[in-house]
Amino acid sequence: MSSFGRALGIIRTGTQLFRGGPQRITTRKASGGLHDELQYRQPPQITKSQKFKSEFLGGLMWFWILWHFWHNPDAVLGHFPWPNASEWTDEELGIPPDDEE
Amino acid sequence: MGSHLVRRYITERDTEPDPSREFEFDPHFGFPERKERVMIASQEQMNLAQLPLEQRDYCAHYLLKFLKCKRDNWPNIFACKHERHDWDYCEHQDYVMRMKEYERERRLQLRKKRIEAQAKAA
Amino acid sequence: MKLFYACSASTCVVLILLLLLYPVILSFIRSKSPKFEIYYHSVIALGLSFYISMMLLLLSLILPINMTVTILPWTNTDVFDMDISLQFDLYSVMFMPVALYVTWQILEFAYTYMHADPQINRFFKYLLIFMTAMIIFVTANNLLQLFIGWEIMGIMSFLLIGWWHGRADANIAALQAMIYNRVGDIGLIYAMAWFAIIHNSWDIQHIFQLPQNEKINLPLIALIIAATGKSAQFSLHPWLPSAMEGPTPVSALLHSSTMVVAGIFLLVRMNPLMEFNPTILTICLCLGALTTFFSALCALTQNDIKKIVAFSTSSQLGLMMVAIGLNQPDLAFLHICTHAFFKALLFLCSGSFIHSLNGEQDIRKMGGMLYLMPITSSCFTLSILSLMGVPFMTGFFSKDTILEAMSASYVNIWAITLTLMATSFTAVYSLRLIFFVLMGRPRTKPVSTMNEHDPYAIKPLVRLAVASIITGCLLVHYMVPPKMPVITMPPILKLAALIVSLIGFVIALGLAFMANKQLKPKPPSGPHHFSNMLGFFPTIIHRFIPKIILTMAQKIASKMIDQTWLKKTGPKAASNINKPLATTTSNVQRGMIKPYITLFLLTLTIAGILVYFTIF
Repeated sequence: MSSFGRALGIIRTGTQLFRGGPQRITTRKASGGLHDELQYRQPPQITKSQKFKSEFLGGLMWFWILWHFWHNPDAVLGHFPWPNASEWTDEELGIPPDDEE
Repeated sequence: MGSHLVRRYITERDTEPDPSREFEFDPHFGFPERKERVMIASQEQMNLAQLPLEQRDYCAHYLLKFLKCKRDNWPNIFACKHERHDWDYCEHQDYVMRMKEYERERRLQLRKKRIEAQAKAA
Repeated sequence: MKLFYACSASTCVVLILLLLLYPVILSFIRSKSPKFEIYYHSVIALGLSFYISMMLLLLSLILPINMTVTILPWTNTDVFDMDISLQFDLYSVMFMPVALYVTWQILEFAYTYMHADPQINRFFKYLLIFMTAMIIFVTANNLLQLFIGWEIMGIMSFLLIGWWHGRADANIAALQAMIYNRVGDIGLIYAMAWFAIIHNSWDIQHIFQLPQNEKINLPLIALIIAATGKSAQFSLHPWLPSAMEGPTPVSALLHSSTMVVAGIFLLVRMNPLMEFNPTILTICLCLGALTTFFSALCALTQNDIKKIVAFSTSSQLGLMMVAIGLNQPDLAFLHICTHAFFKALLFLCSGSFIHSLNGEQDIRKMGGMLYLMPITSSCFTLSILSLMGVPFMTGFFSKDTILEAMSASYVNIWAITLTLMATSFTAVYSLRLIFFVLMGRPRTKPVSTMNEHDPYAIKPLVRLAVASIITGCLLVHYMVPPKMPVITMPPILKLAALIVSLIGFVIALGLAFMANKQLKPKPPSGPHHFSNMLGFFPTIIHRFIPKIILTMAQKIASKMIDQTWLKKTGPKAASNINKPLATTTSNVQRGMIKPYITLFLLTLTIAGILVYFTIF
């Protein structure tokens, strides 16, 4: 959904470009300075939303891993059982006994 | 793999078959009757599906079903788990068959060696 | 239906190329453009191109996937035909959206990272030209088109590594990249020349129909050399870590996700030529295994965060080469795609740390980032887990499959051992990164301007992080591999990659906790020197050989020419020969009358004898 919104945003900006050229867009430069003020021996101020985002990303990753592990463990543990070659009988493989030719 | 390596390089160097070479014994040897495997997907079907050469194996009919299912369920790429599993299982069976052929070749080699040893002793 | 697909596919590619070139052309037309103009244009161009290429990707799901479209004839002579033609197969259709998405995110990140750069317009222009070249390269169905893309990428790599050309290091790194790549280019040119002379064709589809015989080994080895140069395989690898002198977005785009995989991509493209050729495959396998092991070994003791990531890139490229050597080009290609996401993310996160720490790249001076920059840290951890091949992360689907295919095959056991060891080393240096950068107490300078408020810096990271989680699964479901990877194997082989990674991780963790106690300082050991000095490879290649040559030259110039020839046999010899004569003569002349009379008489006698004999 966000990608859809993104696409809309792009189209919107595209039309703006089409109409007025880039001059209007350059004003976006004013939005938000790139650096906070200087901190001396202080941790940076971390907002709640930043914390939430970071936890959310980690949570998403764990959800993804565990969910797939629950539904699709084959990809990790092997799809099919490995046959034991020593259990195959000689008849099955077509091996005549030693004295027969 | 481990047991194969040990046998190939240490314990049974002369009888362990080399996978890159052709097998020595006749496939019919030791069987009263052995049927040739039948290809289920026809040449025409595979041509129509434009399968590459590597995929035209004995499991091609499962692959054709899988591809058809994928096309029918477009654009849901997660569909067709079942068909995929069928195909994988067929490939697995195919692999096990090849393993059996290998094991057969190994045992036949061992048997040949035993017989030769007996002949020498006698 | 086929016609429809052909038309829409070629339209898509042409549209993408036009979109990407539009800002570049615009900047040529306008003499002076506002500071971030190119940036806005290029972000829009990249975003639109990405959606267009996604459409193509979706279309290719239902329609015949292999297709060659000839757009227009180029040169048609009696003996040599060449057309501008595009190839739409699994590789080109799938790689385009991946590359465009990664580039798009990196470009947005570069907006923050390069904000203060006075020539930022030119920077984005270079990136766009690079992207255009990449698309020309992947869609090419003609060796010349391929070569054009290849070379433009090389030039852009040179220009972007040397972006901060005020620094001597950057210039040296750029030159080094150029020269090493040149070796690879010669390989590609050789292969092209071979195909042109022997088979009169540069069309890739034609070339595939060549008879498979021993003769084809020569151009194939040339192609491997080309891939070795471009993809930093062992023996031509030192340029890649040096290329970290460039700005971080450049490292993320060119030197991890897109440009360096071009060599592997070339081999994937040319795979039909080499699939029945065990010699070539074994060369690829051993080269790849050696690269992946050696680079992972070098990464273990580096302290520069970007160098570690660069060596890890080199190691992953080696793994792709291994997949080619296993005759599994699809796995190699899958790894190219998945690697692009998490490696770009890893670089961007390192870039974010470096940017916040005012350009500090040493991991020993970081630490505690988990509390200072939580979002970037999350993304960083995520990408590292993906790199290690944690199940169901993006990297797992390709890396684990390659390792499985490798252990289940009957190829060279040494190659398998080297690759598995490299896998465990991956876990070791990954943990080292996490341990030094994210954990512990901050060891940074007390003054900091760290922040994560700027959406332009965070959004690309988050988007790439989500991609690093889910794309592996998507790609695997999208792709029906033409070459079936082995799925039947004993559990121990199935789990081998995971076990090996886990062992590496645990050992590294143990070592890391042991290392934070104060111990008596010991001089570093031999293996540490080997790893820390990058296996002495640069020393040997860059110092030893030039030194021999210089010493020899000095010997020849000074000893042989100057001293022996110009001095000893020239003036010295002349003087030495003349000396006894002159001494004798001068010894005689002491101003005494008796020797003069004797001489006079002697001369007279000789003259008399001569006259006598001449007359009579």
